[in-house]
Amino acid sequence: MDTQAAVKSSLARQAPSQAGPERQSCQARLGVVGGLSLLGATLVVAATALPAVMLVYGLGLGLFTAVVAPGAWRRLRHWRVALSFCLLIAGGWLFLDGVSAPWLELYVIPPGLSMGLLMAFRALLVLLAISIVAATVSVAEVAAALERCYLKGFGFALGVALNALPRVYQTARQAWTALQLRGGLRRRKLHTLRLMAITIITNVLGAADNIVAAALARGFNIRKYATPGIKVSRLDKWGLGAGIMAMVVAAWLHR
Amino acid sequence: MRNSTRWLVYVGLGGALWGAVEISLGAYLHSLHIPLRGLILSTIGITIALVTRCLVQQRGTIIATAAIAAILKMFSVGGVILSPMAAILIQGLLAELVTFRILQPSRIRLVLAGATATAWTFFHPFVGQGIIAGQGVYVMYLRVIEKGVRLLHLPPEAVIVVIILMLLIRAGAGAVGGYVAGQIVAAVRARLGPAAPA
Repeated sequence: MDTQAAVKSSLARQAPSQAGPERQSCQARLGVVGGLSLLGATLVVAATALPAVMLVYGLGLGLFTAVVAPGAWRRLRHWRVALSFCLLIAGGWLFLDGVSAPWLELYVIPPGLSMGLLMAFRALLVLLAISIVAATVSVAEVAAALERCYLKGFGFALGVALNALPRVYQTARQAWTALQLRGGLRRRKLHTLRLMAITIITNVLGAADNIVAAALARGFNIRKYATPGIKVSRLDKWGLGAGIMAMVVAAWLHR
Repeated sequence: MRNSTRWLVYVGLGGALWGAVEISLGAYLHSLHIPLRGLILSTIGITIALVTRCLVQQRGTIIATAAIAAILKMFSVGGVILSPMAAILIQGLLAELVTFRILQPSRIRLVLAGATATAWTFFHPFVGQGIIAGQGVYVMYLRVIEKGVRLLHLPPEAVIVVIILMLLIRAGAGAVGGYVAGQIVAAVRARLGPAAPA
């Protein structure tokens, strides 16, 4: 696929107005607060909790994901993810034969395999939490959250970057075409590549004055710039509460 | 840079350049399964961030540029993208720490910043996999290395030499990136003329 077309399709996917029904339903219910709370709680549970606690938490998270963000499960349906799980299980079975996972050793599972299964389950938990964040949190929400974290003007810089992307690709394509017309990379390859990099950077950064002038002409002032708010839905509060509770339980019943 | 709107614009454009490299070149390198693709992307990205930092001469530029590039990485085609996003942010933070104290970094400082940032590509997979799969992964790796050493009849010191060599290759690529950044800054200033920032 053409790179610019890929970026355009990605941008279209990210744009709230053109988002699919699945993404819109996710955004309407779970936002950046809930998503990041669940991710933080999952990391804490995966790092500190007993396997039994992890299993209960995993079941809860799985059900929650199936109801709130089913798209997150679909994101994990990839051959690479499946292969990494298989490698973890097989690697544990083959190389960790003397090491056994606590709690799972009570059953008939061999020690190495139990350790491999535990590692794969941990990986599934963390990847699921990451997938929830990727499925529910949009770029605008991330930018708004960062603006709240003392990064004022970050949204503006991100907007500049998004608008500059097509220009970057156009400049790169023009520089590459000009380079090919002059013989391409036949001689002095490194020198030619360096000249091409200089051309692209100069052309892209050369537009800065025009962008600043346009922003100032539209009355943009960083000192008077209002930080966008973050929407906190009821489900975000539930996610935050569940995350805190999971962290407390994990810390209480730690390994 | 007195006008902070101007700084934000340069950060945005620098982030767009790094992000474009991550999205387009990253997709090609991943689809072609080129070895050390993470190192290639990191070296180019950190070079762009260092060029932006030298042009605007303001602290916080590298980490802000890295943050923009990391968010643009969300547009990449593929599965879970949190790991490369985290790598971009950590590399930006490391380069920022090296150049934080001075407004106009010297050539040596740029080389050091590039080397520090790209050296992280060596540690990142281990840290990431440790977070995802737990300490068991480290034990597994150690046992695999032990068995491999025994199988190939190699001395245990050979493993350490290989690890140091891999680390040096990564840091060396970043050092070259930092050196090239210094050269590019001079050339960009010459080309932009009075329009050059700072």
